[in-house]
Amino acid sequence: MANKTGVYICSGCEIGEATNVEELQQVALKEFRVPVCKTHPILCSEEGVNLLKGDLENEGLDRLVLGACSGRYHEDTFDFGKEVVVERAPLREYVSWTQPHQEEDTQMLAADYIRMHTTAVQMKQLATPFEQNTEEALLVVGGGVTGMTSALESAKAGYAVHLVEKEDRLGGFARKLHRRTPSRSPFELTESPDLDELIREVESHPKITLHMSSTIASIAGAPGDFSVRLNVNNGNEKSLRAGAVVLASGGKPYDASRLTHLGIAHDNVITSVEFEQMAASGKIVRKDGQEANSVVFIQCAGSRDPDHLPYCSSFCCTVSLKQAGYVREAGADKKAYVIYRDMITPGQYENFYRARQNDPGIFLTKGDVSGVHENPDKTVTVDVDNSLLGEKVAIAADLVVLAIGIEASTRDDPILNLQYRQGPGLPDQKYGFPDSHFICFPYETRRTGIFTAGAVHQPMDMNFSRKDAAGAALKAIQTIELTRQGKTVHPRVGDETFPVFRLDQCTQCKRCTEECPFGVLEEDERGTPSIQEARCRGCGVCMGACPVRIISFKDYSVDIIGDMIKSIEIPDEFEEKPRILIFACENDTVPAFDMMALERIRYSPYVRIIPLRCLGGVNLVWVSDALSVGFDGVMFMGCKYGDDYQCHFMKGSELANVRLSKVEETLSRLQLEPERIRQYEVSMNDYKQVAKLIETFASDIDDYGPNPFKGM
Amino acid sequence: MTATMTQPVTESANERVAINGDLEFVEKLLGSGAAELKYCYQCSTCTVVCPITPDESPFPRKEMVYAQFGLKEKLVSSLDSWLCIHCNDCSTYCPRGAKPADVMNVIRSMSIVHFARPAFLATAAQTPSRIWMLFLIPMIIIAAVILGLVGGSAFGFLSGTIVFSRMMPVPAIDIVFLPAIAFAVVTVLLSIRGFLRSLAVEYPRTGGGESLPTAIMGTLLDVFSHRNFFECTTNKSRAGAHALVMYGFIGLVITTTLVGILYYMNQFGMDAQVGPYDFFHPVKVLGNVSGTLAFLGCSVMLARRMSSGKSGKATAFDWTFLWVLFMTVITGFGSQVFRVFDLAIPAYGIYYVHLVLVFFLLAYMPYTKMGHILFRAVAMIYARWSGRAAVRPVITDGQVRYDVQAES
Repeated sequence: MANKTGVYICSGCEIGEATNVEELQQVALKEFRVPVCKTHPILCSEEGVNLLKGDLENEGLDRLVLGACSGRYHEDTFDFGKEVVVERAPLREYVSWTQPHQEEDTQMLAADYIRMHTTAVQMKQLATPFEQNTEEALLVVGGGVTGMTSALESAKAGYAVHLVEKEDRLGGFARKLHRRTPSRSPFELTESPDLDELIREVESHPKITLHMSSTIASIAGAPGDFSVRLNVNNGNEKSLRAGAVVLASGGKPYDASRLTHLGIAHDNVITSVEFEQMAASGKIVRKDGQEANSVVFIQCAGSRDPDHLPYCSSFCCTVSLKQAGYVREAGADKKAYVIYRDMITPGQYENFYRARQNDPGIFLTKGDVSGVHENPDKTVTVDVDNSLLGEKVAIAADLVVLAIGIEASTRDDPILNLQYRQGPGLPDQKYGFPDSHFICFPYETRRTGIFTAGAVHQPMDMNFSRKDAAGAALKAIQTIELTRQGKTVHPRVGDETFPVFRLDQCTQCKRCTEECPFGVLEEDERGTPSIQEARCRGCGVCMGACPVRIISFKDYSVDIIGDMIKSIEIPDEFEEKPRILIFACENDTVPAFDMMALERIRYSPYVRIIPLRCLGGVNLVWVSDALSVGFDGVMFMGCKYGDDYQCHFMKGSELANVRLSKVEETLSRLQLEPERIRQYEVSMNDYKQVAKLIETFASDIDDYGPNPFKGM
Repeated sequence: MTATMTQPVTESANERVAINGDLEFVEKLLGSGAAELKYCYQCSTCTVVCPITPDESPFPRKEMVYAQFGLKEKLVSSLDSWLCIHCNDCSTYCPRGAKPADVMNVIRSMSIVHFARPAFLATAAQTPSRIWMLFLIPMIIIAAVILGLVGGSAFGFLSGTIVFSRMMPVPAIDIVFLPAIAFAVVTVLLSIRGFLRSLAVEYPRTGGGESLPTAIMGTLLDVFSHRNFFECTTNKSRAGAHALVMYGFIGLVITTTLVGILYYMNQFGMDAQVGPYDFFHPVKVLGNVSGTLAFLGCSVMLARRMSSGKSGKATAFDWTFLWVLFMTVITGFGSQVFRVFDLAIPAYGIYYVHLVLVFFLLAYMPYTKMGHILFRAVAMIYARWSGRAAVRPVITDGQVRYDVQAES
């Protein structure tokens, strides 16, 4: 294939004022001998785009370097089809908007970006989508409200659905409900669970195939091509194919038998689930059958408690407000007390809270329950400390209800039984819920094409579950459609590059198969990896993991980044011109640099920025490349990691941290300060601090003095 | 329905208080002017904005939660409800519109009624449909005295110069009003005794209290200066109006007393002029000036109650008191005007109404809002004496300072 590069420098957006554009052209023409190098005052204009189109046609170019704005702008404007590799050198963001104009350092900076990106574009190869026979039916696991809603939403969107339910009837947990919390304006009145209509709709929809009394024996394959085996109660097995999976297996109420400190052993202390069933059966009574005249609801029973569930299940407060209504409906003289730590009534439930608050027979107070005692007459006294009543109080009642939280149903049972190298279940991030990145990708799990919805996803009630079910169905459909086109799903939606393994050099060390955050890679008995492209999200963590550097993408590899580093001109005179290399994660840090440019925040002209898909793809050879060409320091900027991680690929920045810790030793051996290599956690909204980080780092480098390998 | 119980639970040693939500009492509060009570979600904005609450255990948030639980004992013996002067800052800033100031107001009326003896009179005073009974008593008594005096003379006083003592001589007034005042004093003392007993339980004296004389002096200064009142922001104009009414009525009480004293001095042969006095007689001037002050004050208060949300919601308890005050002043002036214009029937008729209203104000002191004079004074003295009001922040021009009132 021809490899003919054109370099185009836009002189708009102050680039022409900041730099000597002609000199930049000379860099491309003389140093890289590119056949075409032109400038244009507004490259993104119709005229500019036509210039590019004309040259692509007439000059036979297949690679373009655009020295203009950041690649996060005008993506569509500069899309010239699959046959053209477009490389963006962000002269606007990294030079003209953040550096003083017409200075020597500014010019050197711009020239280096032309060098780096011209080097890169010449090494990049055209992307090609993977090919696969894509199945477009969805598998929905769980026949409760969430699963039925997911199935129905998908079916209405025109997709066939296999709905698997382990019991012999649909409805799930909602069948136990007496009433449900309000779903409609004014959000003040409880509603009937009205399951019958939903069940009828699901049962009668032609696109939905029900698999009752069935469980998942195994799921193998990849998005677009999952092979599913079912175990049916009658001993039979079934096989089917699915393009994506929605797991809606719900949650399980916390095991209240562990709540002895809240008196669960007493006759008249029951859980909110038991109380709901009692209300559904029609009579609110004590164990001895007498009518209960007063009921105390204890919130956070076993929730937000390090000894039990450390989290808030978010619905228990609303449930108790609902159930307090059951007490009041039983008689005008009946009383309900709710002892809460914080009244959590998300969204429109605030209105429900207000309505319930207005009932004179519902007594609400914040407080900590310090004891629950049984009295000789079998009534129960609840001791409350730190209450709003201002003192230590005791409330006696006929019945005490513990408002218990929920755990994911996947906690002890993988349910899906995935035939994946990394195990049969969905990895959980926190508290046992199979979440992946709840801020940016709320439905995704760490298994591509498998989505969770409802209480297995995170604690939520029926109303929230319905919305969650629709969202997960949509994401599943998206996966099927992208997979059909051979493209990557989120967050690099539409990417068509996938890791390629030079297996003849593989040492079967298994680091890639272990470290892949999404369980993309399988391995044979000897440990040789094999890829399921449809599972891959393109982060490049495997590339960073491989000690023998045999993994690369067509447009992203150890060599491409290495050669970009080597293309940078390093002046010998440190005193005036130190050089700092910045590896910037494209998910948060690159946007942060773009934000800095928008606000014209200046920073050192000595930095050179190379964007990475994820810091998890950092290969340590780049550090030695940088030091050996004469960089005085290297900054790695990526997402926050740890408990409140922001990494789009879950573990990328954390892995980078582990890998970089190994560099320290090497640096010390070379008599170099380990602090010359540092990792920073940057989120997009930290952009105002980034210049400060650079300034501090640069001043530290000044103190250390020049990299002794400079100029060698 | 069970009554509220706040006695300590015997088996627990750590002073745990048994709480039994009193649904009936909550409903009573809701129906007596605290209809928004349940809106409170305990954010404490009210106590933060209150310009006069002590820092320690501040009001009115705790009263709001007591009220939501119907803790009657705590509410009726609430010292803090009497430290509140209904300036309405809390209701203005309450994010939920729970109107804490109105709740405090209802608590005060509940407190008056709770301690009043005999209780049925208090209940009547609080029940709009029964208030007429309270008016009927002085109407009958005064009418009977007048009829008994004029006897068969067939309303002879209607002819000739209008002199009110011809219809109701001073001794006759005293026959009616001295027992009424004595009744009021005895019943008020009973109320106050009950109130003090409750205060002693709920608010035991702490180290920071003032001596009794200092507390009384301090309270008098507070009352006469309206110091706390003027710290309000929302309802500032009410402070002035209240001062007018208070000083007006003090003046009117002094006027009436002077008239009586002069009358008896004259009766005992001393050189003292008896009424009617001419327009520039010092007693007359005092009476008219005081009446004018009271009239202005009452007018402002009534107008604000009727037009502005800033004064909070008025209950029947409030309206009755305010209208009786206002009409007392109006009928006082009316008697004078009709006398001057020599219109006998209106003059005597209005004077009769005036006497009935004055009787109402004096005799029913422990049952009506008039009782606030004593309850509030006692509470203010008690607060200083017990140490409850010892240290409190005062905000002036946005600066918080701590005004140490206790003796060092």
